[in-house]
Amino acid sequence: MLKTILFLVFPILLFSQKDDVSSSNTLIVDYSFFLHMKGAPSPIVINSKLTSTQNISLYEMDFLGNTNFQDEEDSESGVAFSVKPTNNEYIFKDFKERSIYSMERVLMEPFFVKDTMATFNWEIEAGFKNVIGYKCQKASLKYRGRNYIAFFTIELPFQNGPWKFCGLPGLILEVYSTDSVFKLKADKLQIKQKNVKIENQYVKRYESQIVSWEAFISQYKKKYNELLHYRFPGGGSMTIPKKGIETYIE
Amino acid sequence: MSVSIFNLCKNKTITITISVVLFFLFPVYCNSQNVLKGYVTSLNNLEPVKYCSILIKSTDNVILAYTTTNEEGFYNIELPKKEKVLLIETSIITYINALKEIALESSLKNRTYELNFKLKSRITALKEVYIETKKPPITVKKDTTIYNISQFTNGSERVVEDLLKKLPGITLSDNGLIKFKGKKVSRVLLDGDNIFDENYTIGTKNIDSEIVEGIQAIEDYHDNPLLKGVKNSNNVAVNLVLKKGMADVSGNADIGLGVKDKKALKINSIVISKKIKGFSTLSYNNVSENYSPYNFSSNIIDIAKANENSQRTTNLVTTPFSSNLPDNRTRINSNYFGSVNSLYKFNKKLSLRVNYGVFKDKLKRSESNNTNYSIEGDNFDVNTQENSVKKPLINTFEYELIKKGNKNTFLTSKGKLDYQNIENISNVFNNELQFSNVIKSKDLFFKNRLEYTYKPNRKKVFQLLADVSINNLPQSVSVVSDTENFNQHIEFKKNTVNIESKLLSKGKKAEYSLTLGYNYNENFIDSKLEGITLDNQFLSNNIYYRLSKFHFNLTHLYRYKKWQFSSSIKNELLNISLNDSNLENNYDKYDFLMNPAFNINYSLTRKSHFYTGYNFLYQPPNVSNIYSGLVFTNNRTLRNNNLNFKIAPYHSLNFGYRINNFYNLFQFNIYSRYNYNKYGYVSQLNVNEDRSFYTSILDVTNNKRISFCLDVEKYIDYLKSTFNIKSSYNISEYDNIINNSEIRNNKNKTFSSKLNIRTGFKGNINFTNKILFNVSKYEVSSNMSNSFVTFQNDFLVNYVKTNFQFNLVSQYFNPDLKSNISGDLFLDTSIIFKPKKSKIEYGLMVNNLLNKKVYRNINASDFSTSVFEHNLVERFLLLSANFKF
Repeated sequence: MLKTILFLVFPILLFSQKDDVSSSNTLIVDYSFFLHMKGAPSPIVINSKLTSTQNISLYEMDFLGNTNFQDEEDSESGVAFSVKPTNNEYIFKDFKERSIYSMERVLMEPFFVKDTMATFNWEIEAGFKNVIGYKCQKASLKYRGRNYIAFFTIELPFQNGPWKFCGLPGLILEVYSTDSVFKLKADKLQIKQKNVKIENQYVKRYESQIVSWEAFISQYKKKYNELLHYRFPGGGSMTIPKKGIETYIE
Repeated sequence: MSVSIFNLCKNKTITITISVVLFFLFPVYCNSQNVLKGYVTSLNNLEPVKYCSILIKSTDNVILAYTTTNEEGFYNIELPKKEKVLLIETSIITYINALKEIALESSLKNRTYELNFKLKSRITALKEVYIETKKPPITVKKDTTIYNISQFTNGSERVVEDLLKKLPGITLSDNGLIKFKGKKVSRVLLDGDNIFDENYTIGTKNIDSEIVEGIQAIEDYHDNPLLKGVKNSNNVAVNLVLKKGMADVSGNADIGLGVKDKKALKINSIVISKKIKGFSTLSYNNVSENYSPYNFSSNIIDIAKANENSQRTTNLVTTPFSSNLPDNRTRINSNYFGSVNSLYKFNKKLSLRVNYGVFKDKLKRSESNNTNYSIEGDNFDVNTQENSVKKPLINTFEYELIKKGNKNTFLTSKGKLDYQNIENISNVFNNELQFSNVIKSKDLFFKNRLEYTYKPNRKKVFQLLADVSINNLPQSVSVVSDTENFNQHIEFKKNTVNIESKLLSKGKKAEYSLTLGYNYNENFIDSKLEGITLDNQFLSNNIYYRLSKFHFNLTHLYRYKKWQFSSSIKNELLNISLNDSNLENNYDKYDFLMNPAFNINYSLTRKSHFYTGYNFLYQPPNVSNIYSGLVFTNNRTLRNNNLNFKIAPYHSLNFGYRINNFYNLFQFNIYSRYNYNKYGYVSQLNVNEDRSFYTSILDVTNNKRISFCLDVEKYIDYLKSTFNIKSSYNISEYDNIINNSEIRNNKNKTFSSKLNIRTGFKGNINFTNKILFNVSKYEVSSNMSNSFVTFQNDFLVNYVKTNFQFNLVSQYFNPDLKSNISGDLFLDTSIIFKPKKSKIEYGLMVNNLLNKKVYRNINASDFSTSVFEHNLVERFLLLSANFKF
């Protein structure tokens, strides 16, 4: 019942603010996601999808091969997009509270992390490049153990990007780490005039379990140290990496 | 409460003060900087516009710097030095961009410019856009676990098997069979290609671990790619990803030389090119190693043979050597092994796999056995001493032709031709009477499977399968002594044909399969015993035994929330025909048999689940349980069967609960199994000083077996050690007849427990200790009982420092703590050293340091106690060098 009320009220609430047209400007960008960690025998290449309004966005990484999490739903204010991530991993950004929600793992154990957007200190550079038809300017970034080069466009007024990346004055259409480990590049872009319903599933499903980045890192360090002493039945041992895409342990 | 509020107020005041001070002081301290500041508001209601991008651009539209407005709509940014004219632009989705220009006064260096914006709302929406470009190929690997092996290795690994042992989730059994998370590994792939097929131990026991860059475990693996996604497979493939930049041909060689003519020589080579992929190995050793997939020195069955069980007939005369000790202490060998494995790709659609292997060994064993029988008040001793030499020779040729059709068809033809020749010569004293036994067997086996697959859509697969096999196994026993001289010739033959059509289908929550087929299985047994006569016994066999059946099988799997149900039913119209020339009544009958089975799995949480299963199966007698004429297998042992032909079902029930919490380094598994069959084989033994005569009788036995098992593993951080306990308790009931007794109802209760402690200290030195206890008790109906307690302790010390390793193993065995036999202690040690920048690795190994020459064991059963002794691999020292090319 509560769901139904929310569902009916939600679009109305959005439209009650007259100057907020963002909810009907929905940006959907498909990025190819390439990750080749050092030591891994082959890279992971998957699709990923960013669905963004001005205030919130959802970025889904299709590790399972079943994207298309969007359903069209009828509502009183017309057809609305309902964006719900399936079992894939996803990153939720809330631009109003300047935070990034993501799922991080220690071994296979999931941690629901709320991080701040203030960690991106981009440097604008003078290079230009055309990415899927948009003129993009170059920017560089030092971020948690890797150096990145990004290309963003101000032709689209979304200050967003794939994965956790954001904080440039336009939309990031391509970003890669200079060590060739991590690459994201847009290959499909749509702007749709449709209402969008993106919910913060982290808050909805796991609110009580959400931890800060610092708390996650201290858990990671604890498990890292424990594993140094654990031995498998065959006498083998394992370590978890000090660094994933981001550095966990300095 | 009040304190915290006060603190909060205080902090806020300080922050504001500092910001105000900084705001005014900033231009003073940053001498050479021009600063732009201002605020952005909405034209409509003069509300501040927060998080609006402020872009500082040159006149040619290049963004030089940017900032965003804060919560109050203010911004503040240092201006770039070189430009004279700058464009300042706002950018935010909810407002239309505003653009202003400022000219910088070159004479004033530390100026603060102020620029405010009033933005118009963006009332019209953005233009709809749709752009799509070519996507790169996507690789989703949802069933693949990728091991970054550098995380698991410490340099002590030499071959792939050593590497696999160290990976979490992977276990290896004695015959080299790999399991991943408890599931059987059916293939080991080389860079994604299946070149070894079933005999993957050739690869895992020989391929140098250093050329492997990564290991992937692929769950739900199918040789046939079309079955993927339609049929759930319990098979796993392990893919060895080789290091990049390897030459077309590379390899390594091992040379080991020791005192007393000990040798271990091995050369491996790997060929990797676009068209051909191959691995070959050639070795000789007399240091108790076995680099091959075959085994003749102990009871362990090799993997390929276990899979061919339904197509192969029985070898009655070649028995394995038995011992409680591991193979490396008992295998006295002189072994040659060569193997070539290759896959040739004609084009993208057609490929051919060819494998050839040759194996030759000479195994030696000296045994003595002193058994005291006490049967129904009768008491006597049998003392035997035996020196034997076993010489197996194997030649195996395997092939597979794979033809991929268009996207939805797949055709393979695969087969094997295998010839095994085993000769066993022994010299035996039986209560001081001397015998010489010559036992030979020749095993010729051929099989072929043709498989056609058609996949009309993503959810359905149709298959046609045709199998044929021929097995010919002549065996002979000849015994010579002062008093006796007899020969036995036995010929076992088996031909099988199986034709099957299959339909597999998968939906969202359910999957099912239908199989319709015909199976034909004929066996011939011919044997003749010469030079001996025994009263009231048939001395020859001439048997034809045929099982032919039409079968229709249904399997179904259904998932609902946390439940998974799977069930199957096998329906058979079975025709059994048994023609035994020794007997008057021959058997020829049709039976309709239904074999149902089901399994239920319930996931309590993501990490724990409850499981149960039930199985009901009719098993017609095996060929080794049907011959009525006597078969001599050596100078003492005679066998035959007393068959009262019946087919009765076999029931088995199991349930358990498992927790697998790797994050907390905790695993727990508790389970129980129960088996029951109404008809079983009663072993009738007639034993005296000269002979052991076994007759297997099919009768109502009500055989039962129940077992309870517990397996717990936990890492304890305080001790920096991992503890593992495995315990099981078994009760089994069986019947036998000893000499002229009635049917005796026997009960065997066994409790066994293993405690394993592994340290993980930070230093270079670590320890592992294993304790094994086994308590066994036999109870006979006549209130007689017999029990013994075996004990084993293994202690390992491992020292690893860059380029240098030292291992010390001590093993203590005591076959019965209750008896007066003192246990045996063994020590082994090895050192591996690799000089820096050297291509050669050196090793020193000393086995059996204390030079134990004989192992003594006590066996007790419900009617006898025996002291059993056999010889051991004596102390040797081996120096080795390994280099790559």
